[in-house]
Formats: sequence, structure tokens, C-alpha cells
Amino acid sequence: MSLKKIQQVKKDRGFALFDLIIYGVLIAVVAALFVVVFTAFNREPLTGVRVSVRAEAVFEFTFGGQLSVLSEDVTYDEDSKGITVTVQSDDGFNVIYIDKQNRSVKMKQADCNGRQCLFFRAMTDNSQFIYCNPHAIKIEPIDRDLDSPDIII
Amino acid sequence: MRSVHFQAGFFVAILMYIKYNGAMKKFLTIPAAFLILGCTLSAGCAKNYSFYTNIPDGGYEITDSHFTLGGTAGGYSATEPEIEEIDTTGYTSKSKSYYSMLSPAELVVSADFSADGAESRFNEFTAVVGATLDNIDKCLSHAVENSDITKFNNAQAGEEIEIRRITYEVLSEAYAVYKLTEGYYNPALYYNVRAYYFGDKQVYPKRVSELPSDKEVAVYTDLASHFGDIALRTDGDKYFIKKPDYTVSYVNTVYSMKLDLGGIGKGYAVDRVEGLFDEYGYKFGYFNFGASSMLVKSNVQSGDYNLYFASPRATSTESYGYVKIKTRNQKISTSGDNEKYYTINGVRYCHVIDPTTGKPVNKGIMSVTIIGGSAGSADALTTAVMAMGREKALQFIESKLTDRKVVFSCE
Repeated sequence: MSLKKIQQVKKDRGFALFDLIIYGVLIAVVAALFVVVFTAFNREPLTGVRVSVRAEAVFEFTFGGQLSVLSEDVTYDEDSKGITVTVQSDDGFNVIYIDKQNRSVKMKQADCNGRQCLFFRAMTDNSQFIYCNPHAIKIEPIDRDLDSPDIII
Repeated sequence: MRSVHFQAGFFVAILMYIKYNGAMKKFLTIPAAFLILGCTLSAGCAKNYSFYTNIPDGGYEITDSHFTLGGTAGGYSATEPEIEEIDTTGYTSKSKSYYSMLSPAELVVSADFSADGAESRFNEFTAVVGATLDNIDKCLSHAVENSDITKFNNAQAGEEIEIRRITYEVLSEAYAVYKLTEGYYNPALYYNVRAYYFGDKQVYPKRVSELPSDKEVAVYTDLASHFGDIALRTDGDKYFIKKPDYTVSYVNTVYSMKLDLGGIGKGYAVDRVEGLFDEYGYKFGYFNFGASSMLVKSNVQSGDYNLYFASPRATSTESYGYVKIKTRNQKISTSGDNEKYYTINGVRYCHVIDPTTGKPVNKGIMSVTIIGGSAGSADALTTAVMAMGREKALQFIESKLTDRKVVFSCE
């Protein structure tokens, strides 16, 4: 190995000062994102959901507890991972998926105008809800955090 | 949040390339290249939008990096509502759901419900709100057989009919906004709305050939342009409206004016519910008709409510809110072309009709939100601003809406 090559290898050694700065920046960025995601949005986990059509409750489910179908317009399929709830009305249909393992609820399918309900973030805590305005359907936590200052309009 | 990750990745990748001759070259050059490629693709694929507002700097927060401030309108000079400090120890919250004017509505009240009579007082309050909403529905809904609006729509041209006070108040407010906006808000576009399939059933067309002809649209638009001819009057405690004499003909059918007050009714209801909040002494909570119209009082936890404006072009669950505004003791109304729409050959047809063309609005404004003033007029004004297009909207906001906060988003 030539002297020039040895000098180059020494020059390229790992954990030079600049490398450590890069590692430091990387760790700081990851830590900051972790704090933002898991601290700023820390809320009470979702305990159960109620589905209403035109302000009338048609379905209720509590994680680890009871499931109630309160209308003939509602059918569901359940397996070990989750529950697929279908609400069929004169206006159309909505398919809601309840993920039992992750304790989350989302609108999976709908034939409403605009389909905006499909873009609501999955409910994972007791302050969130999902609206389907064209079908007048609301999915809300059973133990909803009514004190929350956050409103999506 | 995704963009934050990309920005962080991009930053780190740049640092790596600065250190290109270092030992990390062997291990990190390839991942760095992927990061930079990912950033580039992300920036290239993501469609960006702009929003405009008359809210001074610091009064809002952009929460979706796909949106940037496109411009501002000056002139906002309203006095912010006074903040009243109240001890909320022992306060809890209750809610009640309603269905009115073909929309779900929700009431939330925070109070000390452990106090004597508080529970029954809340029950009485929710019952009164429900009765109020029913009354408004019975007056304004064109889907209710004997509503005042149904009677007006079925009346002969030139005929005068008696209406209830609620209908009179709403029509008076509609007329005032029609004049203020020089016709950009027009509740007489009844036939246009239905010609474009935004009536009650809303089964949408799939082909251009199913859309109304320009001639048909022009006929209906001509009729609607005579909304200013309606005559409202009172006689003691009685209220009347006279239908304009003007009629139009299309394919052997004569049409007289018909009205659709859906663009103002929910706002009016919010104004009435605010009066009930005050009457019952409730200072914490809110009432809303989804995104369309809402009242926010104070929040029991933080005073202000954080309003997240839903993105009118949400394509994933991560992009539902693009601007955040903190507020309390205000009424808010929103219109958007994402509420009811269909697309044919890449052209979006939404339920808001441009009174100048008689066709669905297509001037680049995606959504409009107005904060402050009466919710009834705000409800109608959001529709009008949607139809104005960006430049006229900015001029209008700067000259006529100096007492309200306005946010609108554009493609």
C-alpha cells in the first residue's frame, strides 16, 4: 500500500468530527419528530364508537366489550382483527372498519357525493370523529372528549 | 408531517454530500441518493394550492405544506370579542345531535351540571333548540310540503303569499346579501341547480351529453336575475312576499321564479341558536351544521377553539386540515366545491352556481370561510365569494368585509 493511499485511508477514517455532527443532527431530527408525534398529540385512546344516522344511534361498539346493532340498516362482519360495519340507507351506503388490534376506526367505502368522509383521519382517540354529511352519518367515540378545543371544519 | 420527514431527509442528504470524500461515502451515498430522489419526486408530484386571507400575520397557522399564502386583502378592522374570565371548576360537557335542513347538526355545552337544576335546564335547552330547528325547517325547506318556500315556489307569477316571520327575516337577509354582492349570491338559481343534478336526489351524470344545453341554462339564469324584483312587506304582525311577474319559457314550458334558501338557512339557524345560548346563560361549547355553519363560544379547556379548515382537495387522510385559526365567541360559515360535485372529462361540476353564467363555479376558488358577523349573511357571502373568482373576491373582501375574517383557497 502506498504512503499516499495510507494517508487517504487515515483521512477517510470513520467518526471524524464532521461525521459525528451529522449523526448528532440526524438523532436530533428523529427525536424532534418523535416528540411532535407522540407528545403533542397524546390523547386518551379510543374506547369505543357510536355510529349515528340522522342523529339516531344505529350501531355501538366498545373495544373489549359490547357490540350493539340498533337498526335494520346495519350489518357487520367480524373476525379476530376487526369488524366491517355496513350502513345501508335510502341515501346510499357507508362501510366502516373497526380495527380491534390497533383500536382505530375509519370510513372504508362510501357512495356519497364527494366522498370526503373517506379522507378523515382514522379515529384513534376520544377527541376525533368522522362525518359523512351527504348520508347524515356521524361516527364518534362513545366516551367522546367533548372538552377538546380542536374542531375540523 | 410527511413533508417534514422529506425536508429532514433532504437536509441530512445534503450534509452527506458535503462530506462526500469521507468514510461514510461507501455506506451512505446510495441511501442519500434515494433520499434526494424521493424528495424530488415528492416535490414534483404533490400539487400545491394557495390561500388568501385578510387576517393579519400571526392570526393563522398553515398546517399543510401543500398550501402557501397567495395574497392578502387589507382593511380588516373588527374589534376582537372581549374575553371574560370565568371559573370553570367542576365544569363538564354534554352534547346533543340533531338532523335539520337535510344536515346533521351537533350541540355541545360545557357547564357545571352538578348544580341544582342544571341537568333539567340543559334538557330544556336542547329541546328548545330542537323545536327552533324544526320551525326553521318548516318555514324554509322546499322539501316540506307546506313550508313557506314550497308555497312561494308553487305560487303563480305576480302572486303575493303570506309567510311566517322566520321566512321574512331570512328572505330579508338574502335580499340584503344579493344587493351587497351585486347578485353574486342569488337564491333564485333554483332551476340551474337542478339542471346540473344538484337537486334533492343528486344522481349525477356521467357524460357531457347529459348536461343542460347553454340555451336552457341561459333561460334559467335570466329568470334568476330577476330576484331583485321580489317584494317583501309587513302589515302589523303579518309578513308577505310577492312573486315577480317575470316568467321564461323553455321547450313549451313556462317557468316562474322558485327559491332555494339552502345557502343561508343553516346560518340563520346558527344565529338563532346563539340567541338561545345567551338566553340560557351558556358561555362554553359550540353548535354546528358540520362544516357549513357553526357557532363557537369559549372552550372549557383553553378558552379558544382551534379551527382546522378542511382541505378542499384532500387526497389522503393526512391532508384534511390546511389552516388553523384560534377563535372564540364567533360564528363561522364555509362553502366549498368539494361538498357536492362530480367530474366529467376532467372538469369538476360543483353545487355552487355562478350567477353570471348559470353554470357551476369554475373560477379557481375551491373553498371560502368567513368568521364573524351574522352566520346567516356569512353563509350566503361564502357562496358569493366562491362565484367571484380570486381578483374580484379580494377587492370585495377589502372593501365590503372589513368586519369579518375571510379565508379562501385557490387551485
